[in-house]
Amino acid sequence: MNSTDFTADLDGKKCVKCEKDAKFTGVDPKKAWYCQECFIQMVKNKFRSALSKKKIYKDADARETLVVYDGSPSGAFLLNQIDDALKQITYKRLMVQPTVLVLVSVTEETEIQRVVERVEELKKELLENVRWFIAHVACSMYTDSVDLEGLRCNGTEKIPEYTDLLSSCSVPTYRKELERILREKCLQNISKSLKISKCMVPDDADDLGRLALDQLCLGRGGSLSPLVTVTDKRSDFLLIRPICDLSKREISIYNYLCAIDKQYIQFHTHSNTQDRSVQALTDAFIRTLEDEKFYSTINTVLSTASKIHNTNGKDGSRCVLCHVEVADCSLCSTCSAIRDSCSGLLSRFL
Amino acid sequence: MEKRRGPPPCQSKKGCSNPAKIRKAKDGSQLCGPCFSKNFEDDVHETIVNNNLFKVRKNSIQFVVSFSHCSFLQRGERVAIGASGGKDSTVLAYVMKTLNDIHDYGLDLQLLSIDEGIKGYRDDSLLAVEKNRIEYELPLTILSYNDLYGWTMDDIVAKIGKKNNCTFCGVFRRQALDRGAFKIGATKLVTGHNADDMAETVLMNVLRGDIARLERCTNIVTGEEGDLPRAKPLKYCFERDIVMYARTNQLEYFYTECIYAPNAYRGYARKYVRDLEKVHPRAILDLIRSGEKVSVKKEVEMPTLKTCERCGYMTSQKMCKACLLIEGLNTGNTDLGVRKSKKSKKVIVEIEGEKKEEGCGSGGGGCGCAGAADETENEETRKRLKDLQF
Amino acid sequence: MSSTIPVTIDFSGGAEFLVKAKVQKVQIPEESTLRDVLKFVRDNLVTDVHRINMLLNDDASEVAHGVITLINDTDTGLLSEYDTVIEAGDTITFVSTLHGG
Repeated sequence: MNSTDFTADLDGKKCVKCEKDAKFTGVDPKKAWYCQECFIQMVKNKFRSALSKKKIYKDADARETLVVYDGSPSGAFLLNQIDDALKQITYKRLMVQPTVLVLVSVTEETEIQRVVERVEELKKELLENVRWFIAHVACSMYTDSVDLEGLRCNGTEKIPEYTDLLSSCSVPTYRKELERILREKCLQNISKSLKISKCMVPDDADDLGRLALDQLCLGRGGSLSPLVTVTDKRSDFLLIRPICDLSKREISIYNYLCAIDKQYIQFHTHSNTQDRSVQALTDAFIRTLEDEKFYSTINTVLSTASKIHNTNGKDGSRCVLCHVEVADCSLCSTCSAIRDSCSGLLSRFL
Repeated sequence: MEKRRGPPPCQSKKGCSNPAKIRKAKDGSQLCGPCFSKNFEDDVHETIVNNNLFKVRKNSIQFVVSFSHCSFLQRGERVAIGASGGKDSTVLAYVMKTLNDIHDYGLDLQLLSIDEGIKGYRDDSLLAVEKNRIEYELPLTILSYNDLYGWTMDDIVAKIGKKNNCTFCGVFRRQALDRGAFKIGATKLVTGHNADDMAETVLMNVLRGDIARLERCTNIVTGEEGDLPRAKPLKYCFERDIVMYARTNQLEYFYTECIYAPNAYRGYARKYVRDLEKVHPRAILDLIRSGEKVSVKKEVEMPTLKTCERCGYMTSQKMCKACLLIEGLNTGNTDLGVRKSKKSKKVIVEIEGEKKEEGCGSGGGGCGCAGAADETENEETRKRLKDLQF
Repeated sequence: MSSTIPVTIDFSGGAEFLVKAKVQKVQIPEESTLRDVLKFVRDNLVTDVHRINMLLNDDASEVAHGVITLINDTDTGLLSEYDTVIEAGDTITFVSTLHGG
């Protein structure tokens, strides 16, 4: 990765904050450009303000937080910010007591083993005095508490059940949505097992912007706000998305400048480009708009999502699958459709 | 060579034995021509009944009717059908007439068409509407932008170029339909917006951050608080089905793209919606459903509705958008009402301060605002506006 | 040389502006599928190449968005879609739905 990759068309421009030579543009190259130090500070500020706006850690109790690490650049960034916070490297100390959860989604045994080994290395470099657990998304298949062990990948025995359930879904759009729902269920299971009520996830602005449009197309328009904003209160735990205001681009540049990119874990994801799903179309749509220089798309979508809610308010019980939609019967209509596309396996699971 | 596989039989509930010819886009059901046509009409009737659009007789066949006194339309009421000559409004007019007859809604239906003054485009579509008038035996009224605002779209584009003309046309048309409906004494308006349009609108409002519109755009009835409420009976009909319905009933419609091309952004959104429909047809209805569920959070600031200082139309600013745009055209400040610029803001402040006697500069006879320099002209314009019942 | 069969191709809903005539009687190779017909249309009938994306996708393997394809007034989705074999005397109709109304 070359630092000159990010510095096109900036000849002569000065940093908008400090008058030094500008080296990096913000999300909209027409609006802001920064020198290296100010860029780093800008990114850090976005992280801190996302957390402080919602006063999540004001309370002296309940500081225990599960911090999810999925090996991605955004995940590494999150971990690093938490590490900074504990070491008081940035200003005011962020009062959080983290437990790291490395979330694994690959199914090959050798790959899983490689992840376990890589985590052992990482543990020596950051968050050394913190508990680390490794768990597979298949933990979502547990109905009771899980006994988590420190040194191995938990939940691997449930992988066949997990993959069977996903394969039983005949509609690609629903299969991907089910995957997302099961990931949340996994976090819920683990939080409950560890008796931790807060969970930080590394969802960035690009992920969430796409998620907002996907959910719109799935009929969950009224529930966008909790799904794509900083805090998402479920019945027994709080999902926190501290990097919801940061784009993948900002994170990549930051990681490069602060040498965090050495902490990635290589997961071989099988992205199916022939995919005929809503999610694939949404991704293509947003990329097209950004290619056509409509840079504020993600920003506007997320801003809109934060201002709207379900007309029926929050009354009524939540869908037992997605936990966001209000449902008269146990499932919201979208989740009913997901269940119907799963040839029976999902009904048994519920 | 073996005979190719033939189509499956019609899936209509009444046990029709014809081969299926049409695959309904909305739900994939396979129907023969007549059954598809009947199915389409039943769908629209069901939408009408379920949303209390018209007061229907208790003994209407097939549906359990909620006999409500608050239904949108009453027997004997005059309803204007927004007719552009295109597929949606042609089908709308035909279906409304058909259902009005079959189910005895008792409505007085009339066609209302707007002439934007685009040579070569609108002339042809107006011919199509004229054909509708003759075939469906419905009265037709045509209103032009020139009559209402003193500007045709050709004039406007000559003045401002092709960049923001759709803003002008959209705003002008909306008011034109209202004014036209009043002119013919209609108290309600129906338009041919279909499911694809609605899905696209929901998406566009999210992409533009227009939360006020997002909240309202999926309402099947809009403008109830104003003078001319409007309804969209084809709200849940897929565009493909509308086209097949027109084909099955041999309805002629007009189809050339407006020569002042639509903006690129909406083109991307339209492609996205079309792709969604192909890959996951349910997404269209789910997008609409998302829009229906949405309302703005209490703590978010929203503009309140007032009336325009110049012409009395509904607006959230001091002047309605149409008057603002006309002001811009007449004074040469073509950013007014279109772009947020320092220059525009200055002009708006100036306008709000100016006295009503100062003219808008359109040179008489045809301006929609009541600020003409000459008193007699002023009086004439006011009278005209009064005729349009504003 | 393989023999040809006569078919009628009908362009509607706006698609007719891309070709010389709305209804055309043509000869296509025997045992052509609908997929073959798309390429035939692209190669022989389309006169307005700039707007070809209104009717066909980039490599003419599928029709463009919003185009309904009928064979003898039957939706090809009820037959074998692009694999449907064309028979002599068939009428293939392309109906574009892309225009406002």
